[in-house]
Amino acid sequence: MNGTTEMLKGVLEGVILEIIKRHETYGYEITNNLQEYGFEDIVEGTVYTILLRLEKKSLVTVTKKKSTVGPMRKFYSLNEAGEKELDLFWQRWTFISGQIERLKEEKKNEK
Amino acid sequence: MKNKNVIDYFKQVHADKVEYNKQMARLKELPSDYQIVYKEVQKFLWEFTAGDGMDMLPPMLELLDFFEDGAANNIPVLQLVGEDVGSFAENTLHEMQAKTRINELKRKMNERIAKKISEE
Repeated sequence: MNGTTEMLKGVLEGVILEIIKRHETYGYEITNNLQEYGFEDIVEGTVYTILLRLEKKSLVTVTKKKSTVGPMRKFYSLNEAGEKELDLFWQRWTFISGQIERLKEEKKNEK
Repeated sequence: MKNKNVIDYFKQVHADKVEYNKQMARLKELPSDYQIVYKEVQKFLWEFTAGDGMDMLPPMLELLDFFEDGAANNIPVLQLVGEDVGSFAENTLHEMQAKTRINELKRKMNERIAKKISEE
């Protein structure tokens, strides 16, 4: 589905943490992963800036390795702080999605 | 002691310049669309630097790594960063680890407000 970028912005950080948690990965693979989930608008540049943020917040461990095509590529895995942040993310998500569902249900009942 | 600091300073300036030139040499190896976008993003980031801007070099180098990887995979640059390069540059500025004018302005603003309110 397209047109989801703005809405997705705030949750993308948590989603990417979840993807990294599964196994050590890199920007291009994360982007492909998101596209497979139907977030077609996501470009690698968006993932890149979120990875900068995760690094700045010390939520990931970064290893630089040579990629198969030659240049340096950064590989990301979750550290302890990242695991904690991911738990918090899912808690917040449960709260937000629950409340929004409630709003939607109330709207239905009004009709 | 003071002289030593001056020497250290010039040594640092020289080291930064060498690093910068290396960066520019690597940039010239990239496809022309990548060069155009890189230069524009760089120009944008310089606009918001706080201080002498030398702390912008590591994030710029990181961006170069990212671009080199994209170019090696034959991805057109606008497909890599998105059509809206301005937003990409803005997000990069926001997330990179360097002193930026915007963060300095925000920090000083909050300090002023806290000070003024406490004096009320």
